[in-house]
Order: sequence, then C-alpha cells, then structure tokens
Amino acid sequence: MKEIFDFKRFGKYFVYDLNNVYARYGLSLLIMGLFPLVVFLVTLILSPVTGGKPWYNPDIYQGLTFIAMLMVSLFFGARVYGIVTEKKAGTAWIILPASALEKTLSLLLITCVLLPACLLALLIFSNWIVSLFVPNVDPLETFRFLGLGGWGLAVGGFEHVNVPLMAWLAWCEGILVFTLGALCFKRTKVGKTFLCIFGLSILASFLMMAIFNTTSFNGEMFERFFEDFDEARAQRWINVGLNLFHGGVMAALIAGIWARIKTIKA
Amino acid sequence: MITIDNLSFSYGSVPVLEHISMTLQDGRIYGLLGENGVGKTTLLTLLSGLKKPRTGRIETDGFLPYDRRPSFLQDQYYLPDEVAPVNYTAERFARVWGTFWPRFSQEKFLEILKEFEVEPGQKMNKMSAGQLKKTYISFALALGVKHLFLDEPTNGLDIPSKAQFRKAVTRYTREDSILVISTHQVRDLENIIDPIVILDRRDVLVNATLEEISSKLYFDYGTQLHPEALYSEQLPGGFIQVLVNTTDEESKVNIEALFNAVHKNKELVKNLLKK
Repeated sequence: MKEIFDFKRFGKYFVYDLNNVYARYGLSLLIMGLFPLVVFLVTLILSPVTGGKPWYNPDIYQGLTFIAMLMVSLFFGARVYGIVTEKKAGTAWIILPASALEKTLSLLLITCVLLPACLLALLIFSNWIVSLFVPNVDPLETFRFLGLGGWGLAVGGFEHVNVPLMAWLAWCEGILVFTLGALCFKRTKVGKTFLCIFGLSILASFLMMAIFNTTSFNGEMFERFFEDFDEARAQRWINVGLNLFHGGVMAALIAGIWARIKTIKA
Repeated sequence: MITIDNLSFSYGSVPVLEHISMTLQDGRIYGLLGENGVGKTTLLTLLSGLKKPRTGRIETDGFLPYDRRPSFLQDQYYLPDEVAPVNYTAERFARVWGTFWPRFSQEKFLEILKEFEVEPGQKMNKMSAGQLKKTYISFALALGVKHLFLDEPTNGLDIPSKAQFRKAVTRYTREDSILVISTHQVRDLENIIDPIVILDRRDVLVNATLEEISSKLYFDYGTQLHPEALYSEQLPGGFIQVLVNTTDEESKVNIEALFNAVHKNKELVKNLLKK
C-alpha cells in the first residue's frame, strides 16, 4: 500500500509541485486574474485624452473575465506539466520518487481546487477595485457571471440544478483535457488537443445520429415523454443526465492522466 | 544485484539492444563502453525505469525498474548526459529535490559542490554547462543511493574537475552501491572503473574485472612489434599492444587498447573472457 500512496511522501511531492507551479506560472496567473482590472485601468488613464468617462460595460467586463479563465484553462497544463515530455526536465520528473497516484492527486488538487480558487480570488479582487471607481458596478459581478451569486442563471426555471457545481465541473473538465493533452503531445500541445476534441466531437455526433436512427428511439417515444411532462421530472432527468455525463467525463480524464503519468517514457 | 536477462529494445522498427544478458554485482563501479549507437544510454534508461523493455527482463534487487515503485526510485538515480537548467539556486534545488531521497545529505552536497568550486547561491539557469554538470554530479553523489547510473559524466568538465570527479566518486559512494558509468572518455575514468562492460548491439562482448582481463590478455608497452598481437598502436617511443596472455604475466590494462582489441576480435576476446 505504501508503494501506491503514502501521506508523508505525498506531502513532500505536493510542496514540490506547488513550488514548480509558482516558478512556472505564478506571474502569468497574476496577470490573468487582474486582466479585467488592467483593461479598466487603461481606459481610466486614457479617459482625459479621449474626453470620456472611464469605460465600463458589464457584458464586456464578463467577456474579459471569461477570456482570463479560458486562457488559464488552455495554457496552464502546457506551461506547468508540459515539461514532462521534454527530454531533460521530463527525465528528472519521471525518476522523482513518488507514485503515479501521488503525482496525479497533486495535479488534480492544484488544477481543480487551488488554481480556480486563486484565479477566482484575483478576479473578485479586480471586480471589487473596479466597483470602487464606478458606483453602479456590482462588486459581485464575477460571482453572478459564474453562477455563484444566485441559482438558476444557466438553466432558467430549474432552480434546483446545482449551477456552481456544474460550473466547477465544467472548469475541471476544460483544464484537465488540456493538461492531458500537455502530458501526451510533445509539441503544439494546445493545438493538437483542440484537434483531438474536434475529432472526438465529430465522432460523438455520428454516434448520436446512429443511436437516434435505431428503431428504439422514435418520434412516439418523445411524444409520450412530453405528454406527461412535468417540471420536477424534467429537473430530475437533467440532474441525472448531467451528473452521469460530468461524472463519466471526469472519471475518463482522471484515468487518462493517471495512465499517462504511470506509463510515460523518456 | 542487477540481473539483465535476454533484454531487447527497439525504437520503432530499429532494434537497439538485442538479447542482452548480464549481471551487475554490488559494490562495483562499472565502466560501460561501446561504439556510438550501440545503446549505452538506452541501457541506462532501461535500468533506471525510464523505458520499458520490449522483451526480456531487468531485475534490480527484486524490483522491475519500469514499475517505478517509490521504494525503488528512492534508492537509485540516473544522471543524463544533458541536464535541465532549472530556475533555482544550486542550494535550493538540492534542498527541494533531495527531500525525496531518504539518504540525501545537504551537507554532503555542499561539500562536494565546494570541491568542484561551484557557488551554491548561483542560479542554475545562469550557470555554464560545466558548472551545471558539476552541480548535478554533486547532487547525484549526495543522494546516497545504491544504484547510480551516470551517462557521460565527464563531458564538459575541465581538467581539474575531472580529477575532482574521480576523487568524489571514490569518496562519496556507498560500499554496496552499483555505479554504472557510460563513457567515451575512458582516460578520464581509467583508475576508477572496474569491471569493464563493452557493449555491442547484439551482445555483451566483455563484462569482466581488470584482474580477469589482465589474466587473459597481456598489455605490452614495449618497443618490439608482435605480429600475433590482437591490437597494436604506435605511440611516441614504442607501442601499446594487446596479446593473449599465455605466460600468466601481469600487466596494466589500457582500456582504450582493450576496447580496440575487442572490436577487432569480437568473438575471440568474448570467448576468452567468458566466465
């Protein structure tokens, strides 16, 4: 059992991993987290020149927040964990005495818990600073945008669907898929991961078409479903469907990352 | 003890090692020699678990290296020919990384680094190639591991550093450790490597101690040319010649001449040194 997981060894590896993240991505994370604030401050500085008020538009502000999050989830894996496919740095990482499970768990803790927490803190800080300059800005704009400030933002009337959990799972899936790509591809890690996602999407749509073309899924079935439609039932279906989908995707991504770490060669 | 049994490895369809078998004993410093491309680096990476054998088996004190069990990794280290210039000072690098190896000693690391005249507070990504290599060598020797695999460790070292390297290797390795040093610079390591392993793509041509070699081969440093010599090379003031030892006379093994003699007479020397 100690060969698979040991708390003391995991602690050491986690500290090492954090050091690595700080050295490789600390500054980039800070820039990304403060990105909406920086854009706002630039317009504030330029306002005497342009003769207008400092710019603020909630939709564009949310867009900037989205861009910051997207950039982090696309490039974090390649910058921090992409080194494992390099000849020199990868060799040193593979022979580091920690088990594949410990290395995987540390990666998951950082990408799915610590990184979003730090990014969120920075985005909220940006939001708060902007709200000090522009009185009509909601200091919780970021919260609302992420579906954390209220229920039902993303799914209309189905108030019991767990939006924050879904938002977090969507983040985890996004960042883990690009981290897996970074562990697998030696060069153009992000581009090749995009191509894979594209290919898999096409494959999935063909598969879905094939399923819907079978005799068991026909118009009558849908008609019957909508005949006795009620909101609570639909909500249950959505919850179960989403849970199954996200659970399956997360399990596949975690298994893929673990398998890659376990079998990577130099 | 490391046992290599019928080991084969290939890069795609290009075979590198084919049906290699040998045993490496505890408490020895092996010199791994071979022509370019015979698979010396590949063998070291297979021994350290960085690659998976295509066929055959490597067993290191009961562990299969490719399983990469932490207790196996904690007792071994592989130093590649080219090392990564990390964004840490030498001192911090050793402190952060060394914590994974239970017998690592920071004091020993700083001591070896001092002997190599490398400043511990210097950032590794600002070091010259030689200084970086010396930092990694100091780290490898300070780990206190049983199995240490060094790939061309003297490449890029200046002349005083080569002498310091020899001194450090003999002084800071464990009594029971197995060191495998792959090198083309045999003169740099002549006095510390014993036994000698000479690798060929399909075979281990030699795996013998210097004593065993000198009991079977005679190294003549005289001025008279022997036509029956397995290998001869003219030097200023005489020759170095390798002959079959028929008189049980002792002689000092010249590794470079041995290597050339083996390559000119593969089967003969192999059979001669067969245990």
